[in-house]
Parts: sequence; C-alpha cells; structure tokens
Amino acid sequence: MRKGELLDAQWTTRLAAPVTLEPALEREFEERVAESARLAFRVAQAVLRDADEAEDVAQECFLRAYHAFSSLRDRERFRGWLVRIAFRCAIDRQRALRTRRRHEAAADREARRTVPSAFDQAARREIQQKVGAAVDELPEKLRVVTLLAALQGHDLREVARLLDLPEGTVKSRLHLARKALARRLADVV
Amino acid sequence: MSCERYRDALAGAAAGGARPADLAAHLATCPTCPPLLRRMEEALATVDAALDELGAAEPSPRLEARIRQAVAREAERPARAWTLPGWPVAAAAVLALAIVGWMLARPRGPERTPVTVAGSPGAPPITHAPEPRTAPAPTVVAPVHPSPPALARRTPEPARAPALEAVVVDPRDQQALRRYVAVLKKRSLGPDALLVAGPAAPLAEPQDEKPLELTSPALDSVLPAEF
Repeated sequence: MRKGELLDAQWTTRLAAPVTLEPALEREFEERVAESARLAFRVAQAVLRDADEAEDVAQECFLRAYHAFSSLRDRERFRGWLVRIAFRCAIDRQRALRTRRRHEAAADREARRTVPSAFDQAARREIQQKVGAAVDELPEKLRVVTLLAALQGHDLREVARLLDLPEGTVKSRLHLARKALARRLADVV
Repeated sequence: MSCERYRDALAGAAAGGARPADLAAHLATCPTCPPLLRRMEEALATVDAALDELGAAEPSPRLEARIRQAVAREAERPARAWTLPGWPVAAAAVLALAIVGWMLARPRGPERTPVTVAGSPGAPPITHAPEPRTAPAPTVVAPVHPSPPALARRTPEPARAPALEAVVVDPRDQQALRRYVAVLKKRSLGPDALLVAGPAAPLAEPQDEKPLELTSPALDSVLPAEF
C-alpha cells in the first residue's frame, strides 16, 4: 500500500462527515491548491526532511483545509492558516515516524547508498542531519519561526503575517532560536 | 568560570545581537572565547545554508494533481453516519459490561459488620472496630452458625437469612481469629462458647483506637496469654 493510500484510509475514519463545497467555493479552493501546494509541501519538507512524507502531509493538510474551508472567514489568511496546518500535520507525522523508527531505517538506506566517491555529498548530508537534529530540538514556537524564515527568504514580515504574530515577536523568537542553535552546534558542526 | 557567564552573550552576538561592553572587554583579554565565538558564527552560517536549501525544495510534478484527486474523492464520498474507530468502542463496551456484571454479582450483605464474641449467655459482646484510615476492606472469614459443621467448614457463605450473619473480620485480625478458634476447638468448647452472631449493625468509624478486648470469663480460662 502506498503511503498516500494509507493516509486516505486514516482520514476516512477520522473525518467521517462528508463535505461538499458550493461550486464557487469549490473553484476558489482549487485555486488555493494551485497557489499553495508548494508552500504546504515546503513547510512539511522543512520539518520532515523527507520528500515522500512531505507530499503525504501536504495532501493531508489540504484535506483538512477542505473540510474547514467554508468556515474560514478571512480568505486572505488562507496561506497562513495552511502553513499552520501543515506545520502541525508535519510535527504529528514526525512523532509518528519516530515512534515507528522509520527515520532510522531511512537514514540507514541513505547511508548504504553512499559511495566513497560521493564523500563530499556524504559529509554535507551529515552536517544537514546535525543541523536538522538541532532544529528539531528547538521548542515548537522557535522552530516554526526558524523554518518559515528560511522558507520565506528571511522576510520576517511575511513570517509574521503567516503566523499571525507581531513582527517583533517573530524577531525575538528567531533570535532566541539562533542563540540556541549557536550554542548547540558550536562544537558539532 | 568567568567564560561560562559570557556563553549566552556570545551566542547572542553570534546570532547577530549586540555585543555588550563587558563582553567586548572580555573578548579582548580571553584566549578561549574569541575562537568559540567564531565557531558559533560558523555554525550559524552552516545552519543558514542548510535551511536555505529547504526553500528550494520542489515537490513532485504530480503533487497538485494528487491533492485534487484526494479532495475530489472527499467531495464525492457518500454521506453516512458517523463511524468511530473500532477498538475504542469495543474496549468501552467490554468495560461497561464488566462494571455491570460486577455490580450484579457482588455480595448484597452488609459490607462491614462487627465481630461479636460471646463467651457465655449474658456476657457483654466484644466488638472490634477496624482502624480508621487505610483499613483494607474486611473479608468474610466464616459464616457464624450455631452448628459445629458450619464452624468446621469455615467457608464463606452469603448471608441469606437473618439467623446466618456473616462475621466480617478486618484482614489484619484474621490470623488472630483463626488461632482463637483453633484454641477453642482444641479445648473442646461447645459451639455455644464460640462465635455467635450479634446484631448486624454497621460499624461506625471508631472515635478512638481500642485494642481487641476479650472479657468473657468462659474464654479467659482457656485462651493463651497472647490473647
């Protein structure tokens, strides 16, 4: 069974109530899918660092968004809303993956793929893993700001808009996150 | 130790924050903190490089179509009643049945009745109340019956008639009670001298702790000193 199919099965049990949007809302939602699918994927990918899992999560968060789309009053906030759903879904998925120790198996597969001639790539991957582990240890509030800042090209105003937070809060959280990362990684990287 | 107190300020400086005057003065004289600051700055540069790659991550070309298909399936799904995950419902049902079964099957007699010992007719009854707090639930040790076979059997029996009151004994006193009955049997005392049922009054919470008192004259002559 493909991962996506498993996800559908889970959703079938979780969201039993069917949802049908009005045609106008349906068209609007399709436009949102077109403009925001990549954003949802990138948020999930930033948390999970696994493209397959990130696509599953992107699909999952759009299904959730679809179920609640008619209740979203301010449609201009759709992207921020979707980012928060994607981040939450990705965190949940990451916890489930850790429980099942799938990420270890994936790391093992990655290690086996590494060949001596690809030493640079392996070293780079190792650093990315260390950075990823350090980011994973951040508190969620700091983590989402750190990841979104990277995804949005360090446009903190956009991050604040997406998270519906004051820009000053985003700046201070980002500073706290970077301090924590500096202390954590000074002797590792 | 003095370097340790600058560690947080060093991290803040590496993260792009201001350098307080005392940190700057410390950096000018400390041999270990400037290299640490450089390592922190390099680490953050590595972090930025690693995180910036996230922004370039591209989903597969079919992601959008996949999402549309999933949403379409969701929209076309026929209406049906709410379904709940199977195992929690099953577990709840089993638990409910177990509770109902226990409530129906539990003994109906009084849960706490006094132990009444009478040595001879007219002797004052001796009642031992359980200790307050942390007292375990009393256990039915034996039914009290005026006939010897019932005493010898010592098997629990539900209180069916007023004449067959069960003796409910605090578990901590069971051993002493067994020895007590054994002594009586050994001395061939008749059943009249043994345990008889007293009025089935519920035990009140004891106001003060009193040791078990055996004041029956008929029993005093046969009981060992430990009683």
